[in-house]
Amino acid sequence: MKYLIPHSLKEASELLIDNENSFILAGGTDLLIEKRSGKITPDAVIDLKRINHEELYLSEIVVKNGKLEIGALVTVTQLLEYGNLPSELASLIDAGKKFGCYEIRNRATLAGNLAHASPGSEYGSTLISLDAEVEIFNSKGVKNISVESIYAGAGRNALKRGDIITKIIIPVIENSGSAYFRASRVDGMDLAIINCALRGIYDRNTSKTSYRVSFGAVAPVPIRFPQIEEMLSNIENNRPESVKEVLAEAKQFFLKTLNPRATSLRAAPLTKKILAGNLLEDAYKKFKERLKK
Amino acid sequence: MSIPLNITINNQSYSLEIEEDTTLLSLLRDTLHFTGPKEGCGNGECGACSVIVDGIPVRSCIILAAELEGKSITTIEGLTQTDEKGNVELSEIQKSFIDEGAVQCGFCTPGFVIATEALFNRNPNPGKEDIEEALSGHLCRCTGYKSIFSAVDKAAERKNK
Repeated sequence: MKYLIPHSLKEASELLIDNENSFILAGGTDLLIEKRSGKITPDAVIDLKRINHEELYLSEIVVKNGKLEIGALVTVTQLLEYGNLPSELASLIDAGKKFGCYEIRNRATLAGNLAHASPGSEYGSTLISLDAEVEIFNSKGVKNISVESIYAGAGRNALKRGDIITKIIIPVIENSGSAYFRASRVDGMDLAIINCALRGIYDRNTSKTSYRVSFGAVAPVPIRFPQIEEMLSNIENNRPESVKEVLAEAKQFFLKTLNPRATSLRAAPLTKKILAGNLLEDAYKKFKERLKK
Repeated sequence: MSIPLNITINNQSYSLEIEEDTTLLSLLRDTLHFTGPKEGCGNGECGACSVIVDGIPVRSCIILAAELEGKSITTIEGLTQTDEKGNVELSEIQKSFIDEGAVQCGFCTPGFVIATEALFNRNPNPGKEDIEEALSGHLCRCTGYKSIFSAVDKAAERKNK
């Protein structure tokens, strides 16, 4: 295996094309495990960490034009320690605190979490619920695509050879709030049995709230449930029982419609169906609590 | 193919030729014989291979040595002091682990000690939650963790005296 050090994004993209069986190396916390297990046998890894100064934004977090931009080399620890995170994006912190363990968070990147395309990844559902985009660099230039469209299947991303994720771009929206919850067998280093991310935007003119809700590890890719989003938007602000009714309806919906695979190592399908409703309730309540502040 | 690597380990500089797919753990153990870090799972899950790179604790089994040009590594061997007569003095953390019976088979211990050292470096006065968080990615199959937490508490007390 060759270890390649590009000095620009252009060079990195060319190296990806020239070396058919090559992989981008950022934190390596998935890549090197898959290499060791024999799941992949790279001829080359292309380390992005020594790219030239003009592309330093790869390692930066900035708020620009009402959007939070997270560079492709930003680690989970870097995000957790970032002092200026807009409170609307609190779900990014919820997810980071559950992510791996301290040493893993010191290496793992958010962009790598998306590129690995695991069905239950912490940041897949979180970033989808936040309506985030990723910036992709290739020889033709730069384009933005939705986080949802990165996922092609379980453990498969939709990137083309030569494509490199350069940043994640998240809109910061006034009067909005977010939350992320997961269920796992142990609280420490573990993967999610299932996870749920929710974002709500309160419209002052109509007094209505609109939602994006995404779940991980209930399907081959993290998915949204428009029916659930619609149900939540029908919660009546002035009638407390309305919350209970809608959450009960949502729980029934998951029992009837979720179809998680029976071969999951972590939980039986029925467990996941029940957990989905419970996590939605947790996420909704946390969102309401945060929106008030 | 081998490539050059300049790296500092426990305050000593090395100029080496390494294979490109050598992990940091393999470089430390197999090439340089720093056998403190252990290979438990080899997948970054158990914590036994933890070392400190430029002040930050990481899993050496899932890092390529080639990534670490110019970096400074601390293994558990680097926490001890050796005087001119060759006598080795253990660190307060290591002593506390012994005093509290936090070492049984000892395989996981270097990882716990390194995680504790890194915790004290970023937070000299950690609370219970900080300690649990710092050690949450480390597995011990012998002690049941209680004696390990006592050892970290004791080391913090000694340090802050």
